[in-house]
Amino acid sequence: MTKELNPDVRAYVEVLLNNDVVKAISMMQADIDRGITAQEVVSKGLISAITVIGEKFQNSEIYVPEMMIAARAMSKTLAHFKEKLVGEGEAKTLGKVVIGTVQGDLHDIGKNLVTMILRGQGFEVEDLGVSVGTAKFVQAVKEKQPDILAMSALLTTTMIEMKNTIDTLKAEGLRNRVKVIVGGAPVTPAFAEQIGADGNAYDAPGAAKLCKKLLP
Amino acid sequence: MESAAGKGRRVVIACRVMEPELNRVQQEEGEAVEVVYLDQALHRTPAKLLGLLQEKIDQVARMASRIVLGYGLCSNGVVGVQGRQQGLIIPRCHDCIALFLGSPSAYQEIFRAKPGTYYLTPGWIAEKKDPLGILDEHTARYGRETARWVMEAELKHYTHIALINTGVEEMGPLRARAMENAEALGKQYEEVPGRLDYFREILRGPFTEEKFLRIRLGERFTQEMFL
Repeated sequence: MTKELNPDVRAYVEVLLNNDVVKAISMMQADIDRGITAQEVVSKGLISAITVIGEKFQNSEIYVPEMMIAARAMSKTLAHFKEKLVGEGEAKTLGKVVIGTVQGDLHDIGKNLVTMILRGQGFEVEDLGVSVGTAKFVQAVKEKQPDILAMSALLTTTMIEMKNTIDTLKAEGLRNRVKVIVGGAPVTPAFAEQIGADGNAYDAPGAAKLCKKLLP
Repeated sequence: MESAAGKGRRVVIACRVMEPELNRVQQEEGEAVEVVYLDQALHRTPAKLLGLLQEKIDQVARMASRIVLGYGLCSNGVVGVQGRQQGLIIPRCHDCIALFLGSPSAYQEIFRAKPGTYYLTPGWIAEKKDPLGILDEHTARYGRETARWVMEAELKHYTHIALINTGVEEMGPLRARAMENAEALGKQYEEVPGRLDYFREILRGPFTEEKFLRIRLGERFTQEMFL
């Protein structure tokens, strides 16, 4: 019999939006004490909650500040249980992801949220930061051999760098070695397909789902 | 591009951010062009921009012999906009900064050289849509501490705040406010010269291929056209 979380995801949504880290930690501890693994509480509690919050953002019920508040509360909660999560996940990681914001683009709020959620789910993430040039992305693919390369852009002026990176991976015979996903507010599914990416997600929770889907 | 009958007025529908510049050019050129404005900062809500812009185009279409838009791709806000009684002309640029700097290539050059620059223009500052203005908006909703935290995160990697001086306004108070922005956010202030050529061309053409896009009657703008 699977144990359901008590309280349910709506309560996690509330504590994250209210930045009530103390309560989030005690709720998570209570679920762990009932015998649920920390990883499962993270997935079904925190990540489900941040997914619901992402949908509110998509519907313009909340805006960037609320997303950031919730993300920070989630980050602090995850940090509290870091050792336990690492201990549970010692056997394996879900996969390796290299992520960065493209050349000339200095925005990283969304990217940082993706990184946090992926790590929370058990991915190993190498975050290259902002304004990452094609050469640096390609080098990272060669050296780190990730399962997924994730690129973010918040400006239509910099989106084209995603195509440059994918084209360079092809030219160097690396394209088949890695799945490439792209995201950021102006990045559309049509654009992602046009440039030859393997997928696109609207928001951070979507990106995490996509990464799981793309793994062999 | 003008309607078949050639009747009606030449109309420009523009973002209010460029009102000071378009006003100046209208005075200089004495152009018989009607300019209507939509609120600034709609690029922050692209879906809303699409709706409002289409509505305005449809409103003026009947009396317009030609419609030119004072917009660029603007965070995809113009994607889907359609000319329903005539074609449309729009600057071939991602956002208005190219207009203030004179051309898409001028913007590209400066963008590559200094990607960490947040640009301000006279109209932008005058309506307090600058970072300090957004900070006030956020403060009203979330409180000062959260507002500052969000603003700092959004601009964390920016290094400069640059005021584009198009020479159409009294710069003293605008410069002071721009500097206030820079100081409050811990960025370096600089001023760059702006140009009015692009705005002149919006009013009177000739709508060169390098600087403008055209769509025919019934056609819609796509993101691809601008990339």
